[in-house]
Amino acid sequence: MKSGYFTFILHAHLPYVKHKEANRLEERWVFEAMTETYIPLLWALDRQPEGFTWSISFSPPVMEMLSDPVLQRRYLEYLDSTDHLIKKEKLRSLNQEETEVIRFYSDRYEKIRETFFKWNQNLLDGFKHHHKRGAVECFTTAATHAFLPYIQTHEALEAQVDMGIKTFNKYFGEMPKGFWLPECAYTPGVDKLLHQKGIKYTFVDEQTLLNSSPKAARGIGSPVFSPHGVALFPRNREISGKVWSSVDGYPGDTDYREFYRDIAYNRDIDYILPHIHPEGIRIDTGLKYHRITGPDEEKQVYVREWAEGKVQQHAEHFVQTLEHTLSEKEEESFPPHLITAPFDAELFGHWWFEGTDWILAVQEACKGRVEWVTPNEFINRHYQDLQTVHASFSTWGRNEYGEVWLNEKNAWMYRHLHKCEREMITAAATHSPMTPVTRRYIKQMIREWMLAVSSDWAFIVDNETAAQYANERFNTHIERFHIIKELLDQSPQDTASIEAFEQDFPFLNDIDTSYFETPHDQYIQQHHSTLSEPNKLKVLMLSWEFPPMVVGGLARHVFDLAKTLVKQGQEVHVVTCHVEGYPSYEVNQGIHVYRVQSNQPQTDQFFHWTGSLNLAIADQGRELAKKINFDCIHAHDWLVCVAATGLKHELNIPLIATIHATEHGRNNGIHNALQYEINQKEWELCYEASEVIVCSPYMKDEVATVFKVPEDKITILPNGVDPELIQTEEVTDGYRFKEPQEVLVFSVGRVVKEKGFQTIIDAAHLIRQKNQNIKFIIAGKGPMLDEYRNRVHHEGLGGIVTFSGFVSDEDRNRLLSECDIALFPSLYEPFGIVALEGMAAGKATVVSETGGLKDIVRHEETGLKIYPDNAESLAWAVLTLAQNEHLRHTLASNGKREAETVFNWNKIAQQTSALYEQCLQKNPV
Amino acid sequence: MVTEAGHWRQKTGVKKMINEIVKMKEKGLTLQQIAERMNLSIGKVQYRWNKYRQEAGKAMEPKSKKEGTVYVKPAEPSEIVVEPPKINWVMPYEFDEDTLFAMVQSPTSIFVYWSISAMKRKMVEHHFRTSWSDLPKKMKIYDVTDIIFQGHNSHRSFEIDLPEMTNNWFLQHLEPDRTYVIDIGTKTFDGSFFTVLRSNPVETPRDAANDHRSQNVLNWKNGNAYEPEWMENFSSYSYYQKIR
Repeated sequence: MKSGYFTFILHAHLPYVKHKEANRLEERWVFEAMTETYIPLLWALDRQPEGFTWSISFSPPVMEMLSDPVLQRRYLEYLDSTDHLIKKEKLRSLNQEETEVIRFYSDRYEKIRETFFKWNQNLLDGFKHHHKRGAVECFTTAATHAFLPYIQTHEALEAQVDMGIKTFNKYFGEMPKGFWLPECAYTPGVDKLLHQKGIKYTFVDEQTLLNSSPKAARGIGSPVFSPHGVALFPRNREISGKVWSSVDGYPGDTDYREFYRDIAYNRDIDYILPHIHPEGIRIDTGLKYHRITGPDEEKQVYVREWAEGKVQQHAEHFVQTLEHTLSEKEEESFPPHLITAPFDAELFGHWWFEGTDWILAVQEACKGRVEWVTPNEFINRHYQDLQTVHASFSTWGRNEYGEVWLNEKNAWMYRHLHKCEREMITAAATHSPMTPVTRRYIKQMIREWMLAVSSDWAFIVDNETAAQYANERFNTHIERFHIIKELLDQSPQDTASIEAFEQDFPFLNDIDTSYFETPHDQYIQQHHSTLSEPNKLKVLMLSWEFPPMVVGGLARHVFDLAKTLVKQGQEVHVVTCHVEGYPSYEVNQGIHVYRVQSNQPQTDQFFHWTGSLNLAIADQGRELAKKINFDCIHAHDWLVCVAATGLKHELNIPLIATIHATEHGRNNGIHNALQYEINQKEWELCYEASEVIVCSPYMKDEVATVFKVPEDKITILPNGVDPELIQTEEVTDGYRFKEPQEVLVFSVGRVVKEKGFQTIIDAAHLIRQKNQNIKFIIAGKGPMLDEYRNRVHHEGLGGIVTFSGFVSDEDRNRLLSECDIALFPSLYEPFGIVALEGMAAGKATVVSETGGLKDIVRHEETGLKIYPDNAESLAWAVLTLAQNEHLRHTLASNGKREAETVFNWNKIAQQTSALYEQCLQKNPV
Repeated sequence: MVTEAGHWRQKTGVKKMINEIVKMKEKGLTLQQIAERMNLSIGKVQYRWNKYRQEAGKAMEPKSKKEGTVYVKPAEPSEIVVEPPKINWVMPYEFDEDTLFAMVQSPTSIFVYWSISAMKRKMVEHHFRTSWSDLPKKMKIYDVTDIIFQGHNSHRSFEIDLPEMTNNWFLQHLEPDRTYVIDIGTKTFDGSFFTVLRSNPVETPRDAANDHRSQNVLNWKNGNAYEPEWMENFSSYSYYQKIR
């Protein structure tokens, strides 16, 4: 006995070709496989010598078809017809040679019938019998033999794998230990699922191990473990080629039966008609009288004894080859060398007529010379010696990768298959919880997808031999899938309309829908059904800025508005830009906040950065709308214009836009291409919106003038201030930012030109001459910060004006508490929320007579107004207040009251809701 | 499976089926008997028979002693509902959805197919204020091997121009053992690439053994990695995946 092993594997698979109507040609595939392969394999098992075991995988379509009573009945009719033909043939036989062959067939078919009845017309029972007694180890493959690496979703992969395993369990009463990867197609990740399903081993092509990482130390002489612990047995190509090769393999021997010479093709049509297709299409009868003879057309009559002789010779040759290979690897141990030879089962008997006899002959010849082992037994003995490697995508097809199943001819199929996968998940989610009726529809969708996804169709289309049937079958199942889906979406009350579909292909009767009912979808269904209240307005709010991303006043505004709307009972979903370190979803003070990442978040062109962000925002909005019936969209500023417009048309709900500032106003006109594009987006947003909100009469004028928006479409809603956020307290513990005798003037804002901080520097010179006790602190950062600091330094204002840069909220509030005057000298300010914060903090507030600021403050009542960009005016206001403490207090308390009443978020949010309602009435959905 | 050439059935013509039914009906068989003989559902036979009678009109109904039957023109769908309701579903060229899926074909080739929803096309048109047909169509291929790709951090990338009316592509001459991400997009006015859709990452297989994954395999095997440090395929999909 040689050291080492041989393992022999067969894979029995046919696509599901049972049709409801009789006489479909493709059903003959099953009958021929039964007659020529499956039954002779049972004969081989009956006579198998002691101590030999091999393995066979049955695909679920084969299991289902072999167990199908209709096919069993049709098979008997097929046998009857063949018997009848044999009787006719006996009468017409021309010579002794032919008579011999006919007698051979006569005996053989008698035995075939006998075997068929022995197992009660279900051949699987025969294999099950030999499986139980340990003569053969049966296992299975994917539910419909899908090419697994080309499945898109994990859910569909699991359905293929698990339904295969379940079907095996149904027929064999136990779980399989092995799993045949259809087409030996492996890809990383598939092993994880196999392992989870309790699969111990599978088969790959030898290239898979030869190209592994790290390199498989034993090459193809031993299986390896995949990273998730499934043993991968490599097909030995050289050994397999002896049987498989059409050029120099055994089946091509001149004494073996010729496959292509069936009597169907050279009998009179009237004579043969009862035995071929009723429409007169000549198809194989299974009676083939010739031997291969040679390459010429002329064929000699088959001589069974000669063929049997060749079987013995080829078996001996094969065993010698095995011995030779094992001798070369004799020094290998831990584990000993293993030769793995997997084949399509139908190769034996059907293609190579004598192949099943050869298996038996090889076993006889191996006695005492070569040990056979099953993969399972090999693992049991040697698992501790197996290496673990990373294997990459590979198959046993042409050129070792995917090109047979993915090429110019069949690539179009995958768009449809993947669509089905997602639609099954969609159906399971949107029809949850399922009723018995809807479950049947979804089951039938799964069944149609299963039947469409067989690797056979892509294979046949590539092969071009039966492309018409493959295309027809594929198209039929895809089409029916979508018809069922449409029927399902009409909320059917009964199953009448799909019963015909169910009967047409009664495949996988107890198909499971749970693979497609994802835990996440189930959670959302339950969670959101309790959350949704009909009397709430559901607002989809879009803003590029949202805390913690604060660039200007926009973030605060959107946050405060949303928060107050929620407090008043509305449901607000804000979609905004991703911020590193912040969650993509959170509920913040009742606001649903979604932060989305665009595809190109670091592009240096700001305009296209916003474009990219808009696509991401719109995606998120569209996804949310799958579950949430939004009443309206509320967009803030041009940066979300594209998404807002897209969603408005997609969801068919009104759009409300708040214009916080305009490019025209910011730049005092439009001067370059970028400004032009931004101006366009602002214009478009105003155009697309049903209602435009602005914060001040000033902005209303601007929007009406610049964008030609009708005045009645514009609503003025001031910005609000949240007094709770301005945590000013009485200073009791001594000042941190000033001396007690000093008058502190505080300003805060982004350090950009339009905030007018340079006016403070100019005015400081004038103020210094009159009052040495006045001090300015300006908080905030921005592009002008360095320049202003330089000016302060060079102009000797160091002790008087301080640009503090960024300050924390805590310091900011402290500064507001300690200061005597709040000053906002902006050149352009659409609203000026900071001024309101000064007022709310109870400080005398000085603002420029510009933009929104001028509407917030009433001069000498709630604050003081100064001329923008005018140092004398600023100096006057500061000096006046510094010298008149009484005035300071009067203005401060009036301002505080104003801020708390007029600029009150509760009031503003109510007005905003009213505007939403008004839109809904104008644009009923 | 083993398949051979030459065994392809022409679909039984409707006309032939009707002829058969009519013949048997004339012989006095019931629809049930006809259904059994023809191995069809009773519903199907009844449907065809009713349709035939409607078409042929009263003149056809009585005992025509003619051999064979008159050619019956296919009828418009009638209101007799014994078959599933006729829903016209025609396999589309693509679906109105945003999808860009990449599939590996070999160590050097990847197949991608895509479709861009009408909504997204409109938004791109809106952003660029240019009609879709005037926008250049481009594809950008990124090598993102062992990188968490965020749109700008690939090892390398290259772009190709796409012809109009294209929704799939075979990419050739790639490198084995690399991970690629593919974008479909257009070009901004100053020539940079603007992404419209992004694919799943795909890994080209090795075409020779190497040690690239040895440490990763060891880490995983020894429980020193929380997740495998290589690309695993088959991501989960859920319908509400962007809702939390």
